Amino acid sequence: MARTLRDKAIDQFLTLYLINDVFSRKNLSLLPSTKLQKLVFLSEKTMIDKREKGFNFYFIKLVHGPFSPELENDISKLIQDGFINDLELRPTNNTRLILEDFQSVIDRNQTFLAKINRVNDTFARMSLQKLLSVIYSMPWGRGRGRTIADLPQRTPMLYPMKPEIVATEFEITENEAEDLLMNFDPEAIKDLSQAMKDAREGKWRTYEQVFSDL
Amino acid sequence: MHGRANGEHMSKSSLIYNKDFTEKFEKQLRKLGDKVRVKRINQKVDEILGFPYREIRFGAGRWRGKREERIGDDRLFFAICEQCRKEKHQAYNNCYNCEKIPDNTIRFFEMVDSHKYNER
Repeated sequence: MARTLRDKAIDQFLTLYLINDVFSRKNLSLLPSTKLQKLVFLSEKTMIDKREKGFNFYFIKLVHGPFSPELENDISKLIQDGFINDLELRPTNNTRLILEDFQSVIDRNQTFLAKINRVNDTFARMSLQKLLSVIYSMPWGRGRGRTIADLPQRTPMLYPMKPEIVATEFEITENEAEDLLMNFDPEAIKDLSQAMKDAREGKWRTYEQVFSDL
Repeated sequence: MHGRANGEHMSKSSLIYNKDFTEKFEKQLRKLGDKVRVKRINQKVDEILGFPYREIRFGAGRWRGKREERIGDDRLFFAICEQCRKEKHQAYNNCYNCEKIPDNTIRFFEMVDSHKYNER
């Protein structure tokens, strides 16, 4: 199943929540993108195990374990849009604004966020090497004692759940999802920046100038 | 801090409001090339100027500090200077010569076409 726009809004929101939690509560000074991939993987897996539809990233097995190209793409976008910085993946003031303004979304989805918190509590401060070895040794698939390390390269691992098997869904209104998508849209951000530049520089037009000959 | 739809209704229709628009707003409007849409936006602007304190909804995230009204999929972002000062939103809107602008001014910042954000 392809991710919907709503799925994408939730994925980026939860990713920001997770990153912010790592820095604010777990006091990390930097978050390598490989570690971020694994923390999101573990959070999504914990949700899917309970048939909870929160994160919706596709994960495949690659050289360093579970990896999501979509998440990698979202991380680049979040850097480009100024939500996290390039070097440490540290959240910026824009992330703070989002998390504060969508506090009601956080409040009503504690089931999902508690899972992210627990994953961060257990794994965020673990060395990357140890984290990878924990993940490689996790059992995968039914029976036969198979672990993630045994999976062939490019094996699909996680993907968005089919609606019929979802027990609990992340609660977000259509308006909230649209507000998030707008905040994550580079074109909308660019337009807003230009408008704010006009306001800052006093470039104003009158009602007549704007509407008279239209 | 961030007020979503809060149902507050205040009628200040007896006030006459000054109004201005960023150059970006004007460019966006001209770019639409759709007379019906422009007319609807013009009507919405007139409605806001008549009753600016109805159906108060603020933008979120980067749009914090700006009031938001929708006309179909188009969203208008604006601020009433009096409200902006009262809510201490000046830091988000950051207008040039803010202190010299009268309270009864409505500043229209920009429009966003949110059609691409919904799956309808």
